[in-house]
Amino acid sequence: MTTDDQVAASVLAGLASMSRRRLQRLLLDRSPTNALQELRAGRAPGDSMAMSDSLLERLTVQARAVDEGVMARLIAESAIGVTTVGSAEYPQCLADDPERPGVLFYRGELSALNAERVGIVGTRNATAAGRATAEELGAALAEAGICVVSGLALGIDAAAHRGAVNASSAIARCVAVVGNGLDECYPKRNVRLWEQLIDSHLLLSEWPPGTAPDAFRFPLRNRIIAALSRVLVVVESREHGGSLITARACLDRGIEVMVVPGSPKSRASAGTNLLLRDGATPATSVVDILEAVGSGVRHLPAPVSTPLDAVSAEVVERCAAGPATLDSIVADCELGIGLVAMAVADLLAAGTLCERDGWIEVAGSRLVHPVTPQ
Amino acid sequence: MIASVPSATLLGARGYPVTVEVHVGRGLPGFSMLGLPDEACREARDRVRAALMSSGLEWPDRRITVNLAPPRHRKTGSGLDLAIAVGVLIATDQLTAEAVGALAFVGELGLDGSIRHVPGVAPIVGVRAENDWVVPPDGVSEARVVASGRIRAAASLRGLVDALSGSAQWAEAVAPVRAVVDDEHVPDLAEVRGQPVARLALEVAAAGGHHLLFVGAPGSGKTMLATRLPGLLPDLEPDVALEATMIRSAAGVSLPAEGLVRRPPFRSPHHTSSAAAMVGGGSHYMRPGEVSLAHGGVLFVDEMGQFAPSVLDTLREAVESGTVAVGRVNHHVTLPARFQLVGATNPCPCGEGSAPGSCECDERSRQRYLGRLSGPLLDRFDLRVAVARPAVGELMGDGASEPTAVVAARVASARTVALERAGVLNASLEGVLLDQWAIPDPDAALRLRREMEHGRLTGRGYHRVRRSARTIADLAGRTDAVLSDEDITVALSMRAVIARRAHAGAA
Ligand SMILES: [Zn+2]
Repeated sequence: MTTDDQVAASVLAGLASMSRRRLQRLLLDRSPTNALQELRAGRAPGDSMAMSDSLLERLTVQARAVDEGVMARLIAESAIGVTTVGSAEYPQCLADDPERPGVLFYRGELSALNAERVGIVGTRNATAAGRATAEELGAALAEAGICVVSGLALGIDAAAHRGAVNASSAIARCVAVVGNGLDECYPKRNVRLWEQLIDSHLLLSEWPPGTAPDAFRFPLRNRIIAALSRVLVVVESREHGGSLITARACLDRGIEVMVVPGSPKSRASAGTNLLLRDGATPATSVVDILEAVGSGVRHLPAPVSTPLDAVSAEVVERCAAGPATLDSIVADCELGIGLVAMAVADLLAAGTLCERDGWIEVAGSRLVHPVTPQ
Repeated sequence: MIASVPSATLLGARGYPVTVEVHVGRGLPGFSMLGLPDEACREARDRVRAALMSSGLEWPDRRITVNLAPPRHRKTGSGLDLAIAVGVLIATDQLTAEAVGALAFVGELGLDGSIRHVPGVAPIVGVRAENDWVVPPDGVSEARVVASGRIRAAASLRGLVDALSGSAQWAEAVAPVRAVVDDEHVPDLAEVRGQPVARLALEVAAAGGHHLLFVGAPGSGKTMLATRLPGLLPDLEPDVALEATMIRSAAGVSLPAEGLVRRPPFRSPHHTSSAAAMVGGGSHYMRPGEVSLAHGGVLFVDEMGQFAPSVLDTLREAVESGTVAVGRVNHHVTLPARFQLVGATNPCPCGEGSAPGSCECDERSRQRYLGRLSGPLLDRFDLRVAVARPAVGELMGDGASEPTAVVAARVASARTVALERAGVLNASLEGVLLDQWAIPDPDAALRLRREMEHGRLTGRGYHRVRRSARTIADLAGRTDAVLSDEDITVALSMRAVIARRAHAGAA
């Protein structure tokens, strides 16, 4: 694709009135440069695009308003790759999807997509255990040669990426699909991950540089995560969480949805438990996921755990059921405040538990570590 | 002739003596008032005139001059009405100066000649305590609290004139017509089910005078808990009781039937309250606000983050100094405001989240929300406890909770220990006394050092934790100087780190 075509495709992809479907139909039988010229001239490109006069007028006005020089500079400055549906570079795994993006923007290694891919998604406001679980999954899958796909949101997404990116013996790259232009990091708190992904992994977006992270773009982004995933793992989601949209998009495509089971006491697991009720597969260990993908199961080292005294064990068990205040631990365990406070303090110091605004949580992953046969 | 009648006017929660001088003389009929009267005070002419006429008394068709001495300070409100009326009556020979004697007067006149209650009878009478006073019937009980002279009640100007001239008996002080508050009745702690740590926090707060913050979603019982704190506190010391009475009287808030405020007050202003209602002021006489009305008792500030930052600043200053300055820089009064602060806040802006992962609010929005509570204010809370709605099992459990009376008895003995030991409650232990009476044992010291190394505890936090641990130990009957690891750990656990990143190291 020529640079002019890339710039034209970017302009088209960013038009406010350009639907996803119309964009890819538009690009199927003509070059982006040609399509843009037609639009700017006020002509509907081709008769495959049945569009009303008013829509054509809006698109024409919007197309004329974009400065191609600025777009070209943004693309060049951030070294953003641009590929359109039908071009050789366009990832095969997306090309077959009914809701594939017409134009795909990327930074990093497109070849990351060549590996088997597993989506890991979940809520932004996760529990500590949820984040630890996602991080462990990310790392273990990357080390098993699986490409972790997620959305770079705060919470579960970022934890999964962090695990995959920082895994010591990773043999697969990881992919983040975002809902904004690739010229600027969002959310800002993930800037370090953003840079790591660009350096040796892959960032994807269907929006041209300069696009703000508007709320309506995230559900659209989720369908790309679904389309890229062989299996989707939902770590934590409330009843109306955005990850349920991703799960729905997977079910539409016949992609297996797996769920890390959570306690009924934890609101953060309410949505994931609903998925389980509706027939999603429980993922209680990394092995469960590797088996679902059909990947060779590697021997996973079981983490060493030190035995706990009776009170500590009871406290950990209560916190594993969901974040708890000191009040509820004392009440549920029917132990003295002093005893519980001492146990909690020691478990906090040991890193078994963690605390936020007075709520005490299990710090570690919720996955189990089955002993695999030698 | 000239009449001279003693009275007093109100500024803040203090009375200032005023002598009402009335001269009735020749000249064009008219009325003038000297001596810095405010608007309400100036309107006395119309009220006094109407009251005299409807009481069958005569309003002189001559020149009347009223001087309010001393002239330096502003006279406010309608409480001088009665003294002015009596002055006019003497000056026009409708009463003899001998019949009135040295009686002082306070009260507002109705157009029908009735004598009405005004705010601040207690401080007004108190500033001329040795005088005999005539007060409105509703003011009798509070006046008797502060007076050493005789207190007479008068319900109407006619009745007053008849009593003064000896043609009728003085009215018996009748039961107050105004609503009387029942300070004695506060809700009982037995009604709080479950929530053992929150209950302990209340007990520790009561015993040590520690400020207490509850963090929890609506329905987690923050208000229910807070309203039970006054019941755990002992009766007010006599001097504080008197101050509290003066303040409440000056604010025009109902007093107990016997006049004296004996029990610690409980005030819970809403976050929509004006700054004047919270801090005081908003009138010429600088009406005491909620922070002063809570003097000696509990100020419950629910939804703390919703209050205006300026109000929270004043709150913090009051917590630090025990007083509040009301009014403008060059014209202000200082009012007592030594209260125990119980704050409450939601953990996040949506109001329904509390446990991590239970709502849509992410870390940043939680921090921004809790960040409205400034670090210095958060730092004032020795006790910061997360509360959650108790589980159904806890609510239904038949294990009876300890009633207020039992806990209050423990609180009383712990307070006695602390006061005998250091002369102050543990929350006010400073410097040498703190070091002398709150010595962590080696395990506790190690734990504290670790907390500090991990940035969970600041130097100030170190002192605060020792103070609340001291109280925890005292309540358990361990009154020697050494604090055990458990005392320190429980104190640490009741000092949740709130909004950690927004105020790094605010613990
Ligand atoms: Zn929330």
